[in-house]
Amino acid sequence: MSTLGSKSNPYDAIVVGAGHNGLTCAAYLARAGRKVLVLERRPLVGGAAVSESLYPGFTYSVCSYVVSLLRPWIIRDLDLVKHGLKIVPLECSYTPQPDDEGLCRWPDPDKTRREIARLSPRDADTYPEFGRAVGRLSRFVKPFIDSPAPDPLSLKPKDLFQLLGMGRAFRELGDDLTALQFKLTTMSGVDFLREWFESDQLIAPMSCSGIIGTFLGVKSPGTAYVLLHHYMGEIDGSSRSWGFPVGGTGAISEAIASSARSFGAEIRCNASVETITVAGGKANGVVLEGGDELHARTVISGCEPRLTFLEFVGEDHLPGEFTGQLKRYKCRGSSGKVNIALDRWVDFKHRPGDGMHVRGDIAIASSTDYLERAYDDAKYGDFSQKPYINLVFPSLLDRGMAPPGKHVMSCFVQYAPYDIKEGPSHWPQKREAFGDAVVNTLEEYMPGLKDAMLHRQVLTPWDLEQDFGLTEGNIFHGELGLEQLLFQRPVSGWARYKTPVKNLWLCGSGAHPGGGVMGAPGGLAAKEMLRQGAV
Amino acid sequence: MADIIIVGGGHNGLVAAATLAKAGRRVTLLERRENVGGVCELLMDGSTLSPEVVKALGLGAAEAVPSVVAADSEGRTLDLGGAIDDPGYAGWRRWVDQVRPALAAQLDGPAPDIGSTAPLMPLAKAGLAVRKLGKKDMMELLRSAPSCVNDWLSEHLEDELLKAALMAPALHGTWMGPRSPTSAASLLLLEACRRGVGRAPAALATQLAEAVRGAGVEIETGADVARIRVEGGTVAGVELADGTPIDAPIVLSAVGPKTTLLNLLDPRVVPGKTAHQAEVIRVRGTLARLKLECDGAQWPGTRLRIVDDPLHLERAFDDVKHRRLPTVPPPLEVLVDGNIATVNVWNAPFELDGGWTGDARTALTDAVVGSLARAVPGATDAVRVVEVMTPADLAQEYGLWGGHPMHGELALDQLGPMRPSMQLSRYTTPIKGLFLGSSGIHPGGGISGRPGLLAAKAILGR
Repeated sequence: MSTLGSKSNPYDAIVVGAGHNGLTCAAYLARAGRKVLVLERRPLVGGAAVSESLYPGFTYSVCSYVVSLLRPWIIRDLDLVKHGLKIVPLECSYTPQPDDEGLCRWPDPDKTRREIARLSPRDADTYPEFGRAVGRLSRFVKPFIDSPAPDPLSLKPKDLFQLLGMGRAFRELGDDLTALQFKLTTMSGVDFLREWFESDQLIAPMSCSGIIGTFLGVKSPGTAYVLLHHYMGEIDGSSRSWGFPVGGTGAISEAIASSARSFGAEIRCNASVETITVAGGKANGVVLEGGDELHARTVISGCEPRLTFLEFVGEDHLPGEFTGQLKRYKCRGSSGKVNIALDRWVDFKHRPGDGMHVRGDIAIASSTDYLERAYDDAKYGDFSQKPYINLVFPSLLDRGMAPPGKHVMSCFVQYAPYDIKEGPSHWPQKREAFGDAVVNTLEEYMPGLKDAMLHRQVLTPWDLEQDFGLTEGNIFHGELGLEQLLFQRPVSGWARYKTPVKNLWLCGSGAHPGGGVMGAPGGLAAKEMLRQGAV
Repeated sequence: MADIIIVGGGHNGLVAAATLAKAGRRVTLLERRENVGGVCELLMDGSTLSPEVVKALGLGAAEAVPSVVAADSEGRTLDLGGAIDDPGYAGWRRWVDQVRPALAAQLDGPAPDIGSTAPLMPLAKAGLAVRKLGKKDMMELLRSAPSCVNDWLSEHLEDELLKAALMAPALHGTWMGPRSPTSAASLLLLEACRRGVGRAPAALATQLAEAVRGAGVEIETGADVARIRVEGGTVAGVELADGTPIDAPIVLSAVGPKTTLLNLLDPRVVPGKTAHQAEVIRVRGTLARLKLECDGAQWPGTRLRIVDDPLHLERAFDDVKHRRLPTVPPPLEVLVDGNIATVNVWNAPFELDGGWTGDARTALTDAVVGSLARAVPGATDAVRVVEVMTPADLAQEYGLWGGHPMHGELALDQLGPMRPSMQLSRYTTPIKGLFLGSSGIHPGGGISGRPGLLAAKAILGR
């Protein structure tokens, strides 16, 4: 057995957590020739980007279920296509209505135009214009997610230069887009969209992407920004497309893991880190559950920051002010997940069939008031009786996900607040009631659904925390609120992957630029460490 | 012929008129109602008037403002001007006082031009004023301002009544509850401009009118401006509802920007872009005003804030959000004068589903009386309703688009250089000779007089 990891022969780096960011970081470091070990508590890699078979013959993308933001430079650098990554594009965004056929938005602009025109001819005209404007903005924002966070208070020439560049980019946007950018970062999704559109049936599903993973409603200020976040995705260089990874989201993690291994990284599952050891103010390794000690020159955490510092490191090793700020870091989980195995296809009441309209994502979001009422339930400590649901049928896009003729159905559900009024630990008693609320809601749109169900997995925010290490069940490792983005993520002054503990770095979604299956925090952290000679 | 016509005799119109007249301009001020002062008389906080306005107009000394007493439904009262024993309060107050000058500095001048056509200097200057704070305060400001006021205050304070009493006025004029992100910024701004002294808003209107007359301005009340006349892209004057034309090369509109740009101008003279900017200004009013005569009420103070806790404010906002009548006893702001209580309700949606019918008016009145009775002993014993003004009534009476008394919701995207839009926040318009100077323009909101003063300065500085 190798002595690597002993006190005298430490790893160059130990990465805590084999989520997609931890793996990405490890792959970049290994590619640069470093000796890297990735430790994963669960029996398989992927963290919240994972595929599991919980019912014979069916594969669930247990947590994260679609992809759009995975950075193209990571796909390229890590040769992920060679390692098995294959993404098929989603064909449609369908919003069923309880009493009519609802709305489909297609990749084909003409088709979309005809659909929207039924609701509002004016909106049909505006829709492509809106897409172009937001597209330009996302091109402006993209450099931000592809480089470390700017530091507005630094006087170092490099940082000033970055700020200046931002200023210039702003000016190149022109007045209209600058105003739009300003609005986008401060307004609610609904208010923002209402400046463009009049049809509530169009605005409702469009505003949903602004609330994913936040504990806010579609009419809460600040949610327009997250909308842009969802507009930034790209597959094969074409912006705004969402896709489904063949083999489920776990296939992304598998591809990154395979790439990391090919560069020489070691990945160990069933290895639960209990402590990140710190001596003389420097991190030097980890202690595993069971007592095994492993040593490294650098420790990198892909876990959520509060978990990393308050659980693994301990307050004793942290500056008081940092701890104070960390405790204020908001991680309120607001969503759950229901995965369902279906014995047969179940039609939508007003658009039957398993055609193109259901080969994309489907939003249960009949109106902005519907969405706000769902939020109201959560504000006062309950799950939504009538939730917002984002549905995907992976088995229609990838036949390997279920046996022939049968289907898997992935339901992202909001809201399910971590902090229910009985207290978070009471979630297990409410789990099935939550699952029932979801299924009952869906049954209204898909009569016969209940009869066709073979198996159902219900994940509450409590489960996301217990099983996946997501603090308070927050899928983004911390809310994507204005006050927790860029140079303030996770803590102002510590937004560039470095931490107050020497030789301890962050590379997860709790670091800039945040959550979603982007890989950017992992990739950027690795690049920053290599640039600084930290590993 | 006047040099300048001012449309609207609200406090900003009055401030602008006096400022221009003192600089030697011949000014005619036209007010639709029979008396000037506008919505001044609706608002209750007269401690936010800009010291510069006081100086420029030579207004008399202000008086100490009676402190607000918060009262909840359990009979607990809290004098906000008295000793506050929440352990976190002193620290919070100290920090707010520390950042106050940097914030106030943002309100004293025109908004920086953040567009691409102007040099970056004004923006850099504004940035520098804030940077003077030092890294720690600056970061704290950048973190707290975009957050929601409930989170922000909860980080510091424990007392739920205290929190609610501090945050309630910051939500006035917004379309937010205490859980809405960016509501902390509203509280910061309010704290930045509030002073320990002030004027009762009604008295302020009188003082301003005196200053205006003293400066030689001609005030015409009952003068309803039907349109602003534009000839060849340049302002020519106005036309009253009875058809009377009044000529002037400059018109300063101190009524809301939406009214000005969409109602008072011929659509053909307003560039499409400008019209769009005016259309999207959000002005969802939530204010209703009642006057009640209550014999036998035991008032705990003369300025009351009736509210239970932040959750109460949030639930009250849900009523606004869902465009419905109160489902919880509405939080109230009350001014007591003898046995007359003037009550402001900030959770009455202008856009009420079904409209403000007689039944809706009665339901609102009942809800208000009920809320008052919960907190004030004896308040229901002998109540006589003197006056009820629903948001629809206020819109009608004061000419408020959407019933919004500040001519634009207070929200980050409608403040500073964005109030009311990037191109309209510095008092000029694409129409030569037409200026904007109401509360709907930077740095509007509350009673500060600054938009009027800065608009007048913009005219003088041409």
